Amino acid sequence: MAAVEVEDLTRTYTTGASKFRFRRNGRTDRQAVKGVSFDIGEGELFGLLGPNGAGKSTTIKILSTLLLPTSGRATVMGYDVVSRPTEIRRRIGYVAGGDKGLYERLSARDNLRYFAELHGITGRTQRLRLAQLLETVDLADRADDRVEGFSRGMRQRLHIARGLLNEPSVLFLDEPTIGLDPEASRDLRSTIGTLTGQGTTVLLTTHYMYEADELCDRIAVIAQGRLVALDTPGALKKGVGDRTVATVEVRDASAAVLDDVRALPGVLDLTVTSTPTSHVLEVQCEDTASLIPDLLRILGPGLITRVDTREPTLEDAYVALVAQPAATAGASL
Amino acid sequence: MTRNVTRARTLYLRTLLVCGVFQLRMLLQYKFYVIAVFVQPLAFALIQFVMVGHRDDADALANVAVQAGLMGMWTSTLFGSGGGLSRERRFGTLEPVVVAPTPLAVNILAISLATALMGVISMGVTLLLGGLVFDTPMMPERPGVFAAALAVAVLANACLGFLMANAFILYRNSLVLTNLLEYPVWVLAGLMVPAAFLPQWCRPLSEGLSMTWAGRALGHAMSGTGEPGREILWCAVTGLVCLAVALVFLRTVHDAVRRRATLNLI
Ligand SMILES: Nc1ncnc2c1ncn2[C@@H]1O[C@H](COP(=O)(O)OP(=O)(O)O)[C@@H](O)[C@H]1O
Ligand SMILES: [Mg+2]
Repeated sequence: MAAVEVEDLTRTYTTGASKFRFRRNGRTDRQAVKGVSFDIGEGELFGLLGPNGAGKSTTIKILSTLLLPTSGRATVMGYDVVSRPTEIRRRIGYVAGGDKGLYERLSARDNLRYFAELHGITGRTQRLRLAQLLETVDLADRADDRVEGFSRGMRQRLHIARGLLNEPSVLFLDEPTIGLDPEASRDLRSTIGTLTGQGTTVLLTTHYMYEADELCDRIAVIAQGRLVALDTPGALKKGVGDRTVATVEVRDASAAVLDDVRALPGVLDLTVTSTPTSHVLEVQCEDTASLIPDLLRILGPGLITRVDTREPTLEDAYVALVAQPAATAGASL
Repeated sequence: MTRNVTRARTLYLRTLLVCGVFQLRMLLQYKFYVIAVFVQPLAFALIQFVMVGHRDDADALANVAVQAGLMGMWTSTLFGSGGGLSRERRFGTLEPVVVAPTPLAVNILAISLATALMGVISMGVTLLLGGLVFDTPMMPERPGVFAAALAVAVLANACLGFLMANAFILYRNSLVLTNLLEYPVWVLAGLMVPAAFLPQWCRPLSEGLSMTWAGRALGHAMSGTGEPGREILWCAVTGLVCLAVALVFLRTVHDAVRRRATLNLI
């Protein structure tokens, strides 16, 4: 049995229904998830990767029984998310990114105690588990301080401890490293590794490619509510193996010039990172050798300071995947 | 099977109590709320004392003190439950609470219970004030009955608060409700003016409200007259009806919340 099964899942949000807001036509519907299917095996570490608004959190919330799907089917540990929420809730941990979700005026330990009670974990078991979790997330020395004074990273770590209270079979992590410093992120990644080693199934969303690359057994890339790829990190990288990336740094590049670059034959995608003094263009193409003369010609007047070529990373694979449906919207700039 | 169910139930009772204590601890940290719970019944009691003070009727005075105390209890429950839930929403704790396997009802009931318990402070305050103003300690003639009536009043209040808290989960603008519901309940329960003055058509409403029975039972326990036992029973019955309605309603709320996705919106 797969730990998580998702079949043709959709979810539509209806917004603007409030009578107190002035809207010409009242309600608007937004389809956030548009028919997603995947399975996660027991003990697997599965990554859900995608840009903001892709539908990652919506999918995770449906699986954690916070939201009902609009159509399709999903099960967690064999239980249906619509009809058996309580069975699922006993077996999962849910960690949302961000700094909300805690009782500000209670200490870290009391926050955990509160939720331990809601999980029916009491007495000695509770005391031991709390102590051990506070140790794991490195909050033992601040355990009795009120959460209202905690930094974002500390809150995030407390969320993670809470998600582990019931020793879940499936752990849902929605952008768990958001707001963590590099060291804490690394610690968390090793904690996650330990958990999957012990047989916990983990579904993780992130938009940090290296994180997914390092951690995940398989990755589903989701863009605008649709699954655009589902494979191991290695295979995803191979999928763009016939591409290379040319990086050009210029002082000056107008929108018109960028359009010219995009229009060059063989250019698959262009991302631009701008600082006040320079622009870094990353051009994904089939063959850099034939493209570079053209790039130099078009960008030459903008004062080129660096030209580079390299093999694709997972990040490039990701950009290539999510850029496809969004290409017309100019989402890559 | 049956044993499992019983075990689950006792577990929830424990959860309810522990979470209630945590909620109470959090409530006590909101200074303005605490001050309101102290000051408001004082003001009501004073006004009422001025109105009946000249009658030199110890029973009437004691009754007035008790009614003012109950008004404070309703206010603390109403604003506490409303404020408690909007706080949960602001903190973003509703989502983790819903994801936990304990029914959402337990957590909300814990909030309502804690706020109703604050009402005991109101009752103490008005009785103390009465004693100070009129220089005779306000002691119930039947302390045991009084204590029982007070306990049942707190529980029944919590049930009514719980019923409203459901609306607070569903409708983000429901704080308006809080402000709307303070006076009607005072009036209907006969806390501001005796229920006998109410027009005939609102008698059934009044009789269906646990607060009405709590007021009568507490008054009678103070004066040692009437049949407070029967009134306590009615207070409990109306409170339980309220709880039952709320539990059915909450099931709908839980589904609606999962459909509408407004839990984490402020
Ligand atoms: N509660 C909500 N009400 C209305 N629209 C929402 C709500 N939550 C998310 N959305 C919309 O659904 C889409 C997907 O959001 P989300 O699942 O949060 O994406 P991601 O987590 O991948 O960034 C977005 O367009 C977002 O604006
Ligand atoms: Mg998200």
